[in-house]
Amino acid sequence: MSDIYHDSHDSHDLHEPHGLPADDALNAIATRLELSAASYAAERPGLADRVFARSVTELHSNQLPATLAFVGARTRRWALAAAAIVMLAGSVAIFVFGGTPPRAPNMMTARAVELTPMSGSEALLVAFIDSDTALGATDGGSAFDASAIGLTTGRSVDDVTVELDELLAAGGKR
Amino acid sequence: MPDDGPVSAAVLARAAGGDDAAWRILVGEYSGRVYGLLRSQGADPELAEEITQSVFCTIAAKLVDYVEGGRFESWLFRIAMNRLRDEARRKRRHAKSAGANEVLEGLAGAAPDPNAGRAATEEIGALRAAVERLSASDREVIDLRHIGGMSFKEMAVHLGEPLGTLLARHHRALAKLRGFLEGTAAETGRNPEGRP
Repeated sequence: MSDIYHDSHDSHDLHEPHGLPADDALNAIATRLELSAASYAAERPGLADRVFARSVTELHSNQLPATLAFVGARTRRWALAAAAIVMLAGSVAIFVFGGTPPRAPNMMTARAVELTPMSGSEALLVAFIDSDTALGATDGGSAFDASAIGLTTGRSVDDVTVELDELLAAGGKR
Repeated sequence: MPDDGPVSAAVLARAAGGDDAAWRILVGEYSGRVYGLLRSQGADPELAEEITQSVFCTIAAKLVDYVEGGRFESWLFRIAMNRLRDEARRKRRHAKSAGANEVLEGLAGAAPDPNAGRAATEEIGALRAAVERLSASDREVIDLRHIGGMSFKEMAVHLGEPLGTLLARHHRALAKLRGFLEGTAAETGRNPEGRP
């Protein structure tokens, strides 16, 4: 008959712990429970072999390379945590000390400031002389480019092209 | 578990390193206990074996990252119990269309082995019926201890309870079981310990 509080797995004696009595009747029930467990085990002969056969491939397929395996799971975990901390610290440092790139000013506002003191062809030239779109148009670029300039300035494509040609020929001066 | 478990830390470490012999020791020690625990919790033999195999596949896949801390049994049984709960949930969802009785039949344990002695079979049957009358928490304590074969220390870790509380719960659960068996014995003229 087994003793319900005799725990062969525990290093200390759990017999009558905390004043609980060692009861023969309860021990008898514990013994029957263990018989019940044994009867479950007897239901499936060869269970361990089947479990082994199915799982051993998993065991092999999840093995680490020898160098990593040598390090050990605990060390690997620490190394992973350290790498994550370094990455996090790096990200924070870049954010705090590096700052973000200067924000581009609102294009329409910037252009408005540039264009305000100017008028007519000068404004047109300032707006588009450094633009691939404008240069493309003056050099006989695509109809789309010329159309875009026309739409932007509210002038016809031909007018824009002629005017830019004249301005470029005059070195940007009237 | 390194010093107090049935499988030493060295065996676990060797198994984690891909050692077939160590893995076989581990499977041999625990597969029957996992299977028994699943059966006692209501799984039929086929389902219990399927879950047992699946649990060991999971363990085999993750063992390489297992850090020995004396919690192997707790880890193992937790995976098994979670799988069983998942399966029960899945079957309950399925039951809405299939009918609850079929699901209960599917999860229920098989009839006791007809080849076993009649008295022993009756005795075990009465005991299992009594265990089924326990509350879920009492039944878990009884099953983990007596079917799963866990140590009290492992159970305390597994259930997240102080050892003293766990021992008291275990004692109360056994006492309830005795009460149920005595009630049955009074009806059948048997001794509650199973002796006629």
